[in-house]
Amino acid sequence: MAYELLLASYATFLLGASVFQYSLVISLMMASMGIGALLAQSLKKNPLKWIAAIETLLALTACIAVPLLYLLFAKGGPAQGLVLVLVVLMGTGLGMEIPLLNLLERNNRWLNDILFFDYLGGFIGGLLFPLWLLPSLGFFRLAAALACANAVLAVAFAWKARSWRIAALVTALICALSLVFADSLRLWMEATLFGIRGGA
Amino acid sequence: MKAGKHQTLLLYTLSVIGSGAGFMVQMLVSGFWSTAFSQDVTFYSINLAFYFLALGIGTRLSQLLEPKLSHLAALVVALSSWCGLSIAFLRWGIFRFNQATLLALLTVAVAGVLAGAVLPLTLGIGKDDIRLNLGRLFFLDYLAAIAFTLVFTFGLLVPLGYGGTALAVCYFSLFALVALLLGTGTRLSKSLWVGILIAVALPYPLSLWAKRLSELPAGARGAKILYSKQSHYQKIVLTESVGGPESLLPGVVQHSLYLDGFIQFSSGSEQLYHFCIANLPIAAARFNQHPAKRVLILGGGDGLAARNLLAIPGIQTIDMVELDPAMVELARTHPRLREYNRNALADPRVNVLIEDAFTWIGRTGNTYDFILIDFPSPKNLALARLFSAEFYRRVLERLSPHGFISIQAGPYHDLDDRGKIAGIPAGIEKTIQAVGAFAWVYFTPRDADAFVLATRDPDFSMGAFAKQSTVLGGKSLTGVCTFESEAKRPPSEINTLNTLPLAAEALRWYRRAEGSGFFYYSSYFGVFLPD
Repeated sequence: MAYELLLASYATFLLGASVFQYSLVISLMMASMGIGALLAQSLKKNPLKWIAAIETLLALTACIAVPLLYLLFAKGGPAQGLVLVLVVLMGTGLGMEIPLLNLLERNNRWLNDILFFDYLGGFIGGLLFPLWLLPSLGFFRLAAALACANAVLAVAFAWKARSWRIAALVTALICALSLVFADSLRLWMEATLFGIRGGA
Repeated sequence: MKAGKHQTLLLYTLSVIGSGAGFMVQMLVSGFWSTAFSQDVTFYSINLAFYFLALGIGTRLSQLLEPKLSHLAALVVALSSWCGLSIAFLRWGIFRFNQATLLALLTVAVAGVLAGAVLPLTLGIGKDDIRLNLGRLFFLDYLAAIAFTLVFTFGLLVPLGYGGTALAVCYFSLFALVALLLGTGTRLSKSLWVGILIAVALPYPLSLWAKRLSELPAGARGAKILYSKQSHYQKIVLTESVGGPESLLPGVVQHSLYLDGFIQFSSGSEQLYHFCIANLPIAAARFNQHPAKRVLILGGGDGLAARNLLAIPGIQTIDMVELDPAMVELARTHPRLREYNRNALADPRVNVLIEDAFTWIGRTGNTYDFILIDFPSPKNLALARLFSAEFYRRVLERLSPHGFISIQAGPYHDLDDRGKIAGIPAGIEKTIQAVGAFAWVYFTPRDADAFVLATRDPDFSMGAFAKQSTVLGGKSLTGVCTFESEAKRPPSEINTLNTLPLAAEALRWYRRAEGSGFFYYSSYFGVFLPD
């Protein structure tokens, strides 16, 4: 949910046309989640390992998404294309989560609980995003913070699954560093790419 | 066996229509509301949040319903009908209660609760059906959501508007549903058929009624709508009114152009405005011994700034970059507008390009002696990005070393303190200074429009120009446009693409100034709502 909003609003910031960007990002994200859900059905073996792998990759993608988009935009590259690629990548990963979690335990109550908490998470994310997360953190720090959350999950699942441990740890380290240096990175990029001096 | 197959098809279709229509309500309400009140990020997020919460509640509530096909069909019928009613309900809400954000959330929440119950009910009915599996159902549901939304954004929004799209989705869904029920020979109870009849009968007349309702006050105030169109980017409205006894110009016919409900120009005051934004920088360039020859106008599709520039000897070409083709079309063809802009857009020296200014300025290799930036105030993010340091940096790269830039910078005064300038011009001044330009705020005294003048020429002295210009052309320049170096500056931040603080600043200003003539929803808003 927060990723969806992050990508849609950053695309609006950089590329304009908000109704267009929101419709495109939200619907494409839904479609990718659908594909993810379908793919996850065929991964019956060792769901824990898959969850760890997906969380790791999600964290990495989230970590580089915003700086990469800004760079591409500054250089006149296909930023709109990258937005779509990121949406498809993240959507597929996110869509695989629920069916995989569902495979961990086979009963209807568990599924109902997952769905309910998924919706609840969506609600909290959607409310916090404009009211608190975005205004107080800004895009660079927010993306890094979300990446960190994913990285923590990645490490936890990797430990349980006894695989992907090193990859998850390295990713967590990268995410933590990018959170610490998010603002310096933003100011440095603004200054070198556009010559903006004295930013806050 | 055959009956089972039919049932599976029916279940999939009902579920797909249900989630598609539910999602559609969410998209329509978000789009309509964020356009009407110029708040993109906040509104989309909060609306989506409530939609998800309602989906969760719907999932829980569905356990109260016995999993029966007729229940599922009733749910989907109600949801489709609600989709058709949603925009009518919002129009009525805005008309009746002005800023009724709660109504928008309520609309979305009702859709969410209904849509949330669809999935568990489908699974409940089809639990013995081996062909029905969760992954495939999820996939189809998501696919329905994207199909509905894409068709809406790229196909229906411009020709039909929000209200028309809501009706189209509603009737398409109901038609598909009834065709399918009849085709599979499903037997339905009488009460369900009555329900379907009501669902078909209500949306269309109520939409017409709501549309009429919200447009009434305009006539009541004596303003005539000469032109009204929802383009891909904004709602364009041209009005004609006769000044009442209490107005500044009693008995005088006045034409005004509104974009998304905000005034763009008014024939009574536009000459002052365009003198300041177009003629003053030209005078500054002449004072600086480098008269302007090549001019670029960003925005300004009404052609009024071009009119002023064409009258100045020495200007050879004017390139104009405007996003909205509907605006240029209007300026070229509408008799009233052509009268005001003296058919400027047909002049061979004027070259009109339909492009996004940000993208175009990064691509072009031309340089200009004067760049005039006339965008609407940065009241939302899509506009605020055109006031960002990144944008100004690219604009400066296209400016000749002794050239000038003038920027429309919104309202001049702070609402509390007349000796202090508003946050918008102060922010713009600071932002363009951050990318290495010298900048000054100036304004029209009477109705307090603000502008920012900028140059890269270190030898230009605004103080000397302001003193000198009183005699330029035999006309008191500073009497028309005033420059106050000692006005107090509010604390402001540089507007970069990563932060865009100007959007929040502009919204704050307009919300506080509501009713003072800048923001028109409160008086005869119905006309300005998106179609």
